[in-house]
Amino acid sequence: MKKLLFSCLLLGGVVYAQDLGLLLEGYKQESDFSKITRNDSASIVDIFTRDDLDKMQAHSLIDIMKSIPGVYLSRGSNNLSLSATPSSSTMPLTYARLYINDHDVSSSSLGSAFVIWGSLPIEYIDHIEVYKATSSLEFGNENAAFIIRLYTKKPEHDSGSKVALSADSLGSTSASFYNADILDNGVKYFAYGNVDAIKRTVYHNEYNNQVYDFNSDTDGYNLFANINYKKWSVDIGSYKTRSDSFMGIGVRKTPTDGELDAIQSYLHVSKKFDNDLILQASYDRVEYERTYVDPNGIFISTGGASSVALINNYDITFHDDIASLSLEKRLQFGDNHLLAGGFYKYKAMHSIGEYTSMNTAVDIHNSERNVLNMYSLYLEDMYDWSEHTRLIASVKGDFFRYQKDVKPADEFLVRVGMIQSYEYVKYKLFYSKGYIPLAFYQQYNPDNTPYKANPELDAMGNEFYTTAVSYSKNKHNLSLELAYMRIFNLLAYDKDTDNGWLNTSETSWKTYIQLDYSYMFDVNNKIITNFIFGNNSSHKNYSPPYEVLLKSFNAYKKFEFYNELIYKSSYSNYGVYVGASFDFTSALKYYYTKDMSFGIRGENLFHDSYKQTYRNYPTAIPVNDQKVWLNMEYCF
Amino acid sequence: MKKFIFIILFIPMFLFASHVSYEVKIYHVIFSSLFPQKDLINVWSDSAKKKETLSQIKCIHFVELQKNADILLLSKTKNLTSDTMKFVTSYKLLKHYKQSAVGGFYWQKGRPNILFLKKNLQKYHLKLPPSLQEYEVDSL
Repeated sequence: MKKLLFSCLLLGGVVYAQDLGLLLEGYKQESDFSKITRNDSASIVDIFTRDDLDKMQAHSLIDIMKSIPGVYLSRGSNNLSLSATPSSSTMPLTYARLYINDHDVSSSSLGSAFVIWGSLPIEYIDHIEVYKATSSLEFGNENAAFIIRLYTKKPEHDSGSKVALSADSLGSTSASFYNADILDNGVKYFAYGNVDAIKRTVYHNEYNNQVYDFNSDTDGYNLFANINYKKWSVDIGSYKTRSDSFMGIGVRKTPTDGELDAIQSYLHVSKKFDNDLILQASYDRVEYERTYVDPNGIFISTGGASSVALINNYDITFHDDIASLSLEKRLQFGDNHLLAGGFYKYKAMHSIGEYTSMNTAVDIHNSERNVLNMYSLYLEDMYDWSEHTRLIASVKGDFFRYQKDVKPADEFLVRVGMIQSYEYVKYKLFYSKGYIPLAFYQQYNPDNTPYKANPELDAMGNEFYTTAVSYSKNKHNLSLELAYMRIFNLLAYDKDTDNGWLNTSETSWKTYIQLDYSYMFDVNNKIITNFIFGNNSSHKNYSPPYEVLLKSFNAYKKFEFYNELIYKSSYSNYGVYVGASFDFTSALKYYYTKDMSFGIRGENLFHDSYKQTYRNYPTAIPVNDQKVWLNMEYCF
Repeated sequence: MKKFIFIILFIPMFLFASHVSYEVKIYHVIFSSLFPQKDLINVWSDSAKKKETLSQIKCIHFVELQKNADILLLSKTKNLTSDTMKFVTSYKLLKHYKQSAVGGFYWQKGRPNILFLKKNLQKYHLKLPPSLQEYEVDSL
């Protein structure tokens, strides 16, 4: 009998041993760092896990932004990565923020990170969180309603080295390398470097019997290192990018040259103390030069009402210095979980402009400087009302003090909410009232060149009502998210007025509905579907009001598969009708060994990607190219 | 009898209900495969976290003294001279104890890895079930 018992136990062991590969895969997903960093109380969140990113074979942030449910990746006329919500026009630059680990990489002059970091290669990124209709208060930084957080790979999981090489059918190339280790003295480090040259489809414009090319190639390098010792963490990053200016900003969209040349470097130090106190200090240096050349004219302002001129060569440079110091503490009193913090930011802007026309009628050179000292205090209380219900209340005050010219401003943000969690059901309800920060380019430029700025400008205000309910049982997950946003004190730009940028008394609203369903077949195989609808107060569609995403992540033996189909409904804008689009992406990866893999990723395979309309241009242009990437990865 | 065999076969199923982490399941497979004949495996560990996590495994008993252990589960200690068989949680420790470590379960190159050192399995007269033999290596 004993023999039988042992045999059976052994057999049981063998049954499980046979599944060790699956257990390892399950363990890999269970250990995903997103489970630690995800902040459900911040609002509606979408996650791209490490496993998702591996299967997607995503190269750059653009590949991710394209796949975010309900946020449309758009391309500005100057090749800038922008975002729009369903039915609405593109978000203001300061509406969105980008974090790499805990570091906000937004520029002070432009108020946005995506101007520089939009095409960031992401081989060094472990996982990505996307927060929509949020307040950012939980992240202890400047206010934004849309936040993308990138988390870099960690030596705890990625010790060793990796080289990744890629090339695509349009002639792009990309090479990445990283090395990570945990040393005997306890120091952990991760070091990464990338160089890339991305080629994109060239579009054309014809004017006066002459053809003008719309180029949008980019190239650059990215360096990053993280050093961790005990409770100290240091991030060092430097990203250099050069990109063509696409159609530029000329009146006739007839560029003959123009590019963005930018480099941003930063240092971010954080120290966690034993008593849940976190001290962070950082410094950023941004060098940004933007040029446009258009023989048929670019409008600029030259000061005063109706004072505009046509130039041909536009060159503006920004030098930004940003330093910040923040302190944050978590406390617990009974059922109250408190977060208290504050930060100080020094943001210096120095712009140099040169604007000339070919006939020298206009020849303007200017140079401006200003400094913003920003102070912020915030407090949040999460109170456990019952076993299933958590109440959240938070308040934040942001105080803006400029060195000169621009009026001081005090802005406040309040947020209340509730999260209920039961075995299978989770319910969230939030209300927040805040503001959309202003950037230097909107409020400071005494000479009013090249655009008219307004030092008396007030920030736009916003209110969010969001609610979400999700049901998770066994392998099914179903969720419904609703958001209503009001924006008041709207800004408008009118070059025929003294100040250009103006506050209006107008209020607008947007609604957003997202229905998600996902099914996990097993640890290796899942499907995700998202149905999205958006509407706005103008009842006019500036972008598609409906979107459906269908994604599948699969693995079989040594193969990994990713398929993505994005449907966007039709819309009309600037008098151009754009039909419905079906953007299909498919990726296949083969593991020759555990350490070496070969991959192929086809993008926009139906040649039916989302198309975008532009002012003064008669046809819509696809945001994404049709291309096929070949990838090779080797770990050692 | 049929009922009995059925129950015995499915005991592990119940033991590994879904709330048990994959890490625990993996360690159960590892230890029960190393010691298939033992009802209770005496383990000494230098990691309080590992002890807490693996305390859910009924066939593992953590001991206070190394000399009472069937195997040492090491996460950081590098200065052991004892020849007691070891299982480690980092590649560096696996290299360090390549004379006495039977294997390791650790993160490296972005994935969890399991390795068993064939030479040391033989040294301690251990034989893995066929399904785990793909994780055996001759050397590091």
